[in-house]
Amino acid sequence: MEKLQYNFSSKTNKLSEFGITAGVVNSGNLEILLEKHDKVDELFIEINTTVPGFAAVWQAVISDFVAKYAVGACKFTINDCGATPAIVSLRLRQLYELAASGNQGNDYSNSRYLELNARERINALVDGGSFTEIMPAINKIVSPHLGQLDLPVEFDDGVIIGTAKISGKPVYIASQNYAFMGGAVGEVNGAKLSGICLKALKDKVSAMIFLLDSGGVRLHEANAGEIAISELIAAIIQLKLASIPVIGIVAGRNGAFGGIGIVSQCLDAIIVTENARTSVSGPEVIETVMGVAEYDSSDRALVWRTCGGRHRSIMGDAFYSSKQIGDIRQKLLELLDKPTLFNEKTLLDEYQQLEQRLIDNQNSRDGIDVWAIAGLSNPQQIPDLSDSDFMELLK
Amino acid sequence: MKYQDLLQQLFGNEINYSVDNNVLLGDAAFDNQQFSLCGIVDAAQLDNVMSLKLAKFILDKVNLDPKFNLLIFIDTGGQKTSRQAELLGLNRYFAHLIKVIHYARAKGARVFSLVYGSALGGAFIAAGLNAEKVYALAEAQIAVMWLEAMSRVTKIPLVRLEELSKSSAIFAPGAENFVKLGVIDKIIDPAAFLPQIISDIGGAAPSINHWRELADVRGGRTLANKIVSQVIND
Repeated sequence: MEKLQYNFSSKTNKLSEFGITAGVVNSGNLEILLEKHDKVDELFIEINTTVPGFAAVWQAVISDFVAKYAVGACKFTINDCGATPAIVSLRLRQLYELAASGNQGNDYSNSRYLELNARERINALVDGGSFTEIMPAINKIVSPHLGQLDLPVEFDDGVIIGTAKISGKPVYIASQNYAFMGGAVGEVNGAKLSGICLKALKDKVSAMIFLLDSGGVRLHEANAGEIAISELIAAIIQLKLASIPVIGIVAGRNGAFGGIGIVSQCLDAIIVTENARTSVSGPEVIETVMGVAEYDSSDRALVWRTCGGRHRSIMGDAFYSSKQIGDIRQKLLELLDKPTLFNEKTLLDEYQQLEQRLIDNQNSRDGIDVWAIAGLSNPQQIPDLSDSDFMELLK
Repeated sequence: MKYQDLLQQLFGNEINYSVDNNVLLGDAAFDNQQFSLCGIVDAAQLDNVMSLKLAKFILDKVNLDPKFNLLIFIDTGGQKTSRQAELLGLNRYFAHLIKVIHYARAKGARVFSLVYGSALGGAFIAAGLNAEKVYALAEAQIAVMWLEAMSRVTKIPLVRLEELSKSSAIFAPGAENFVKLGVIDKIIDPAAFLPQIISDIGGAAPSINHWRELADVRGGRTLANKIVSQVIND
């Protein structure tokens, strides 16, 4: 890691929004945080980069940005993970424009959930302007463990938590940032997840919502991540015992695997889309351990027939939605209106359902076998159906 | 330690158990206390059938009398790595077991686990880590992933990981690391285990913050407890 610092004399003050970020800490990318500066006549830029030895290039890119935009007195902090000069310029400009425009909310009604980042997904699902982030990037509560391994940190440690409203009802929400370390759970990230659940319990909110998008435990802090997932599960169970609905959405790039795959099934319900995948071990892990004959992780159709959103909804482990943000929100509203139960009877019912599944599927080797046993006609055509035809079939 | 030897040492003749498909189920007595026993033996990988069997045993006990003592014995090589296990929704089976254990605790059961062999990956999350307190024998092998595999996946040289693991409990295998991180209450001798449980049962079950508070005191996780309190009180 290398730290670089630049300051420029600047007396203007053109920006109206602080504490905001642009970009993400991911290979070839970077995160920039904009803050007020304690000196009124200085623009201060600090860079923490994984790629040392490029001070001259940084100097050129930063000077160019400052000259072009005359940004004013403020402070930029950059967590870089090998971004090219073009990407650096782009992110600086994005953040500047966001700050200069007063960070007006966007209209996400035509957006695809998959393409939004963790914060945008929250804003797209909750009532406009209702989201208040807890422990946001500006608090800079980062993983103390990644730096030891010369890895870059992110200011929110890969998860966004906070309070919001959905159709006027108070809900708490957590959204995993798939782009930072695969959305994986470490000490800080996991404590934020447990914390928001226990806050939801204390404040008796209408629901706790998880936007899951994670490969599971962050291996660089594996023990802490595994423990954090168990602590999160314990907190989720307390919400269930208190009859506070806990709803998840698995519709992102990474799906829900490992410990987070287990967490997803501890919730009262999850919403999935066609692109969703969830299981404990991922296809690559099973292929590595058991060989390609057991599981060819490059066979995308096989992967989706084994752990994809359609398969999980046919089995009754998830509720299906199209990828459109409006449809996901509609499904979320429906689930929030349903009472959730967690008692001896629901556990016995679940036991019987899971036992029956094993009896019925003793010879099932493929999703198509499972779908045929579930009584669906033309099971081999299910992956090719449109979302609306598939949902019609599920009814 | 072989489960046969361990159980003999713990309960002598005051025990009745069976092992089928690597799942241990039984009942035993010690010092005028009755215990229900369940667990995984021979470092087996935990699969759908086994998870369900453990869950049913506990559900039946709750139905009979929710105020019971449960000991979960852990020796597992992790989750079953097979396409069919995942096809049928292994995560749902694990979650079912987890919910049943926590439900039993909520209804008044006192639940403890003892790692007497291996405790790897997702199977530890599914079973042992849902107890109110977790203990381990000195010979216990606890890991999320072995360092060689971690080095391959993270592309961090093995020597670097080995060096760092001397000063940090955060990623390296080892029961002692899980003690520092607050999740293993203590490393315990077989002879001291049941007296310890009798003493635990004499007191109240620990709070939901127990592991984080221990981790803070022991210096293994210095941020988790602070962050959780800060978020709750925001």
